[in-house]
Amino acid sequence: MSSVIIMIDREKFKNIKNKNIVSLIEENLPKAEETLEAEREEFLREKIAKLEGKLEKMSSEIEELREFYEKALRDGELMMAEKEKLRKENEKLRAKLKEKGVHKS
Amino acid sequence: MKLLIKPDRGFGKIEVELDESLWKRIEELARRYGVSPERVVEIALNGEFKKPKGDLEKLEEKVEELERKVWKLEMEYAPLRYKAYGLSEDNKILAIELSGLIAENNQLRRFLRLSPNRNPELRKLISYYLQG
Repeated sequence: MSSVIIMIDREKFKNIKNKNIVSLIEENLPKAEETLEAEREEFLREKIAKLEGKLEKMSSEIEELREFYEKALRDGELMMAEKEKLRKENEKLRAKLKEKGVHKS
Repeated sequence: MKLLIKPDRGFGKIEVELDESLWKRIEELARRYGVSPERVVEIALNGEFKKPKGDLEKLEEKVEELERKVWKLEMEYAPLRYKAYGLSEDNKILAIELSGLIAENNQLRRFLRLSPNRNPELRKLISYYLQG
């Protein structure tokens, strides 16, 4: 036969020792259900608070990341344009220098 | 079902037989609230009960809604982070190339006795990506 073992507080154990356990359980089962419901509500309230905190943190992180991404895009375009500008300028300067060297010689 | 109750300290035990219908009710409650049947019996014997506020359904819905929002943000966050990292690495390479071009430009200008080309904003940008 299967069995379950329950450990309860010593004082509580003393209180129920001489009572009819089966009737006590039957009588208290609706209240136990209410307690379980209350505990579930408590658990969900804590979970909501945690989720709201996480959501707030994630929203601000994602906003920061989005700003970083957009800045990086703008910076990339600017640096690319500057690179092109400098490349052309250096090419011209090199040609000028070469020309000058030829004239000198 | 045989139920054995023991105190958390000291000796003694209570042994009782729970009939099938009572045990089924206990198991049903345990399943509904996601706890063990032992926990249900423990609460019933404990004598310390709580009253629910009656908003369980609303709370479940709220949790579901928040979890959906978190999931949506997580889906957005990972690819954006990947893209931002890639872009930042590309900019780092660009910054290295620009450093070389600026150095060459300065040298050429010096040889040609031209005033140096100062661009503090660009230098700031280059050092930002080189440090990152």
